[in-house]
Amino acid sequence: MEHVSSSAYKLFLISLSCMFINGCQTTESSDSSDKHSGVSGSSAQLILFDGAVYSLASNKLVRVDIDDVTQPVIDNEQRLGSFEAQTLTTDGEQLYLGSPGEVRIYDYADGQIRFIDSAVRDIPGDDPVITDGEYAYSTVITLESETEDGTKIGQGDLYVYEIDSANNITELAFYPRLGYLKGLALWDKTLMVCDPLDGLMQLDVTDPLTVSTVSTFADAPCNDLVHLGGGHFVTVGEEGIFQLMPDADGAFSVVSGFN
Amino acid sequence: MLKYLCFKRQFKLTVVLSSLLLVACHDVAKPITKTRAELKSEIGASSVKQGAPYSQIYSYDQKIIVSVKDKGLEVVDNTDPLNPVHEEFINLPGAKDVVIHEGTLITQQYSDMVFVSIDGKTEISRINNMYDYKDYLVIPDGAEWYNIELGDDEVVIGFTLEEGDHGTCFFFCL
Repeated sequence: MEHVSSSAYKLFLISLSCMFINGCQTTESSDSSDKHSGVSGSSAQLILFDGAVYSLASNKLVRVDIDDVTQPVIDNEQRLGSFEAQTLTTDGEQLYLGSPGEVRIYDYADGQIRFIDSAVRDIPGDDPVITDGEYAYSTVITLESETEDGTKIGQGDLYVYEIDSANNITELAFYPRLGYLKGLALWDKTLMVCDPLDGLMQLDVTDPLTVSTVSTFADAPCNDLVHLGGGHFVTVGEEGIFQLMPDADGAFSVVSGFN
Repeated sequence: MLKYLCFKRQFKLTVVLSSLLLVACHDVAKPITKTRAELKSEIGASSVKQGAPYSQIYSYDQKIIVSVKDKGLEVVDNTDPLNPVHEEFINLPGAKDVVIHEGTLITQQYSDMVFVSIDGKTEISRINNMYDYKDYLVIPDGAEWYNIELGDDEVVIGFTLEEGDHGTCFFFCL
């Protein structure tokens, strides 16, 4: 009976989450009339934004007009030069590009892809980035190697950026060697970060200057994840898909697995 | 004196040949190609589940879509997140990130952006050569691409790793 109540509560949370989906990594227009918004993982290189498809291709940010999907047309390109963008995400308002060296913000106005501003750093590695509009979070792999049996191992850092009203972003905090950090997703003050070896990490980001680890889900190793709203996270990785939800007290658990 | 000069010349020659040997003898990644007609004919839906490992993830309308390396896309019915159910597998080799727009599935397939019906059965359109194979295929450290002239309808889908540089390496090794 208790299990049924718990399930019902979780399903209620999912329904509730639809009301807040625009606060997540929604990859389509935030127009509420579009009930079929999709959500991409933080490591994506292809997303829907502002009614068009954006993709990272050959060191360019490319916009594809999809008004007629039988005849899609590349209608804009922004050359990225030495900025080696590898991931693409959006908060519904702007595009955030992650690279080994920096995070940049772009938008689309007057028929052109526009570069707004960036925060520069100089560290090699991976670079998924997510944002809630106020803060942006990014993971960077600083060490990576392969064991004799082909298993990849690594270490990474977490960066927190502050986004001010003028669309400038500045580095606020840096947390070194948290694990083999990959994709990440945010809900309220909970930041979930994928680790393909040690499992999903739950971090409390109530105060970005003192981010702390709340829990690690060793049974959910992953490379990337999405947040579907209301604290419902879905991870993906070598071992399959795992879903996590909070209970009535806010404690997260793995509610299902699929492989 | 003559002996010294001769030795010096031989030494120089050895250094030059060694350098050439080092340059010429690294592994070469030779592209494997398919035609777009072949890629198009392979697209289709199947009830057979491929299973993990999965990579990219996309969630849409109570479905989860994940890519299966070199094979295609696994579609999972997530109406009940406590019991996700395999719905179908879309055979779309080379597919990576996915988005869905008004009933059309949009993804990168090797060098192209491809538009497929939501049921995974029909290719609607594609944008050719949007991506460079040297970006979406990762070759081992130290290896180099063997440059080939691609036909208009050819797409690079993988590579074979070969030793040396087509005989040059063998010549200098002698």
